[in-house]
Amino acid sequence: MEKMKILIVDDNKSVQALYNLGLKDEIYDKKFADNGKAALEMHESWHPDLIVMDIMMPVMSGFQALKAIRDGEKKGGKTTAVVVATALSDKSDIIDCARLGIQGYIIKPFKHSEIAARLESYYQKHLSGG
Amino acid sequence: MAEGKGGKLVVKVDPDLAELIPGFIQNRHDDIRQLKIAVEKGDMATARLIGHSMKGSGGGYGFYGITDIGGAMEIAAKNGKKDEVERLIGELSDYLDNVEIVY
Repeated sequence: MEKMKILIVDDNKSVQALYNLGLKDEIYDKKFADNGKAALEMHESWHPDLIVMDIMMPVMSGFQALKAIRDGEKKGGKTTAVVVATALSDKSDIIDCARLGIQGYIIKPFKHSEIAARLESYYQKHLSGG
Repeated sequence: MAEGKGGKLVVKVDPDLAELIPGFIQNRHDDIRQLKIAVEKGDMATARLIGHSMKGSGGGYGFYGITDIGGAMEIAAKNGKKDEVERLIGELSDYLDNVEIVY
């Protein structure tokens, strides 16, 4: 069985390390991006199954990156599952992203031992069209 | 979190995270250096981003005190309260100096 390709977008290396620990290499093919701009480039070149996107990042925010991804999908192609992860500076951040189309959200900080189950749940729901 | 011998703050951390803890602590010391530079420049946008980032990471390692300091720093920087940001940098520094990690 092919591994699920997950692109993790977060500017905090300590948070990246938690994702790396929680998402086992045997099960997931992972790549990391430090900001929205790098995420867009990896989305174009690598075509991940799922993107976990922080919202507040330098260079380009997760909201801007999500908007660019969804705008691109309007021209055709499959919808990539996107889960936003945020330390909740403002609840409207999640609502704004939800309006663009997201498959779920995660509030940081999170426990590394719970992250795989949360993402699988959102991804399976996406596959089933929910 | 509990207070241990000599006023140390005892934090119990998941043993699975043991290898990551030195890197996590080093990153927070790097945050302090960057925050001091940001305050010197009056760059509250950077201070807000670093505070927000600490808020989102601390608790994931068991350091909920860092999440609390980060959240307070994010709000202070957003409101342009430079003195409060400086006070919180000192609080973070004290926290790192006094934390005792147990697995």
